[in-house]
Amino acid sequence: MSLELVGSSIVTAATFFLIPTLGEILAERSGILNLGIEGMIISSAAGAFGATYLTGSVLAGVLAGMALGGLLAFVHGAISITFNRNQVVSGISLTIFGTGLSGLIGRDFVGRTITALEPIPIPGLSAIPFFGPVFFNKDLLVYASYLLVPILWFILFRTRPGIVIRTVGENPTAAYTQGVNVVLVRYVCVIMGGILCGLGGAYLTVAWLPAWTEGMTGGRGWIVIALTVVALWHPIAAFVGSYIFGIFQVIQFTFQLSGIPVAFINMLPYLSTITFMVIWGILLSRQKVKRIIGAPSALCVPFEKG
Amino acid sequence: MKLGFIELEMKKRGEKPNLAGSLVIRLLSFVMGLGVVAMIFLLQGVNPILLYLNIFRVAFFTRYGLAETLSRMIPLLLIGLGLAVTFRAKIDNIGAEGQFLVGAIAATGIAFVFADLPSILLIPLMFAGGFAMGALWAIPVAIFRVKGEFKGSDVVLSFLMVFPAFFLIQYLVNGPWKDPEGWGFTQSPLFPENARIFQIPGTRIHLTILLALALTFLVYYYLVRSKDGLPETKLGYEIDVVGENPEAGEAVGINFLKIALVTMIISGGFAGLAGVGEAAGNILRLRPEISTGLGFTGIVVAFLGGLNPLGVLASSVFFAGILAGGVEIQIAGLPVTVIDLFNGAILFFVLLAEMFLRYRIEWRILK
Repeated sequence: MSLELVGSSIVTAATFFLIPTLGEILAERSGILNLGIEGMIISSAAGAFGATYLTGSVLAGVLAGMALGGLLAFVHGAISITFNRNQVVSGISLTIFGTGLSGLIGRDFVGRTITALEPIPIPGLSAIPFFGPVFFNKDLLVYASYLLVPILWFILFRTRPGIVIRTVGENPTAAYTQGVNVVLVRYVCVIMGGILCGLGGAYLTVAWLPAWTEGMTGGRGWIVIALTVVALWHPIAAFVGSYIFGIFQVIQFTFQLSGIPVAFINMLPYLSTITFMVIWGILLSRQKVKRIIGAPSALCVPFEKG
Repeated sequence: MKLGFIELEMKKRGEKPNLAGSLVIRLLSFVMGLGVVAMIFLLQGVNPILLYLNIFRVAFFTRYGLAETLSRMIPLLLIGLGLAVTFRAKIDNIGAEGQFLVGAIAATGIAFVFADLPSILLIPLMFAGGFAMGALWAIPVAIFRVKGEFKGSDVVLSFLMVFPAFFLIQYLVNGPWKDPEGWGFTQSPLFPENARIFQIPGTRIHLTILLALALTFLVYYYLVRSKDGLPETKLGYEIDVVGENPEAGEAVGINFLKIALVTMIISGGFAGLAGVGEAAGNILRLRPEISTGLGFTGIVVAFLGGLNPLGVLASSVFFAGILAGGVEIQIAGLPVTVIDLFNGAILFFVLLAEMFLRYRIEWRILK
């Protein structure tokens, strides 16, 4: 495999991690932990594939995926924001429910094929040696992911709504006394997060692997949650992290001719994620580091007025 | 909260709901979960009432189905029971699937290495090995829950640990433990006679059921049994305090790490026992499809059972029934993953039902 091809497949795998991670960062910054990522991604992957197959339009597929992601996130929002229930359990329910839903949505589409989203080389940039073919000869969704990173960073750290979102995640009571509608802010963030997960799911089936098979996400939604933490809830770090995790995904193919049993190679992405997350998690637990970066303090803490 | 012309108000309940009340509310959440899935079935053009009645009839009113229900109950009860213990301490282990799989691996290894031991020694040794492996798979989660400083760390780690276990089985049954007469199927050879757990003839109900029931009552007696709302044993009390608030637990001298380790060893160990039972009592060999998501269904079993061993016993029968009657789901032309739809929807409603256990909703019509 040529180096350019390896690089290009790393970008593809990383995009699949990056888009949902940005969504989860947004949700967690507002104080809501959504462990339902896997369920939202897999349902919207099935939905996006089905919609594309039925209408013949990739755009319809992508929109269907985003709508499904947003809808499922709304369920999580209703339970964890309006009813103040345990966010962890609600997220687990969402993952289980979404997995079941994906099988039901996708049952008529197993074995069907669609025309995947075509790569569109960017004039000029795609002519740069190595970087051109790796980064700038991809499909529109990959380019969208490049743009989403600075956009989310700008919104979170350079605009008033961003300050409001972060305040709600740090100290909802203080935000409330300043007249912020905490419930609304959290709903918007969770649903936007779900829509981005839906976009990630759609990317899987309409751009990356244009087919539907049951359980095709292989638990990668959980890697997204690990990534959110590893990236310290920061969009730009999430970009870097997604590419590191993308390398973990692709590295398995370079071992395929080495004689190591396939099962061990398949373990690699999960083992490397686990190792990375554990080491990082323990480093983070040092008080000093924690003070500098700080997870949203009100994460998982229900907000009750008065 | 105002909705149109009705005003709703949530009020904390003064008294704890009684047993009958909490049973009714849980049963209601089960029914509402089925209701939501019924609506999805309607959209798919399947008659849900007919399907539910068929599942129920097959699972509890046919000889074959009832035997199958009891057989499916064994792993669900063991897994749900263990999970209930960790969930009481608010340690969210969702990796029972992986702990189950390594239990099955341990059983297989021991069955073939010590194949010349008599059953009376070999089978207890397999259970001990399965418990140890399951616990070993769970311990990192406990440590990370206490030492890693972020919300949901235990959830993510325990889930990711499922994959190495799954691929380890893949490796074993494709490599060193591959059945030489398996026609290319990825599976181990059949267990030797003396490594098989006794089955009631004509059924797949194996004697692990006695172990599961005994453990149910042991957990109830030593960890949950309570008087005036407080567990009667010290460990049970400590688990409840940590579950309410780990910081408060530390303040009164309860070591969170110790509680995390104890509960995760119980949880992982029980899932490992379930793996041994399935491998040596039901399938009689090791194969990658040995679990079919029992570890995830176990999560719902634990929560629907109200994290109480006796409740878990009841809910494991319910879910075993859904699994046993599951053939009807496939006959209706629906994919097997529909089971997850039930599980997810029921878990949502159990979560909402807990609210009704703690709050009373008052409403009045606005004039």
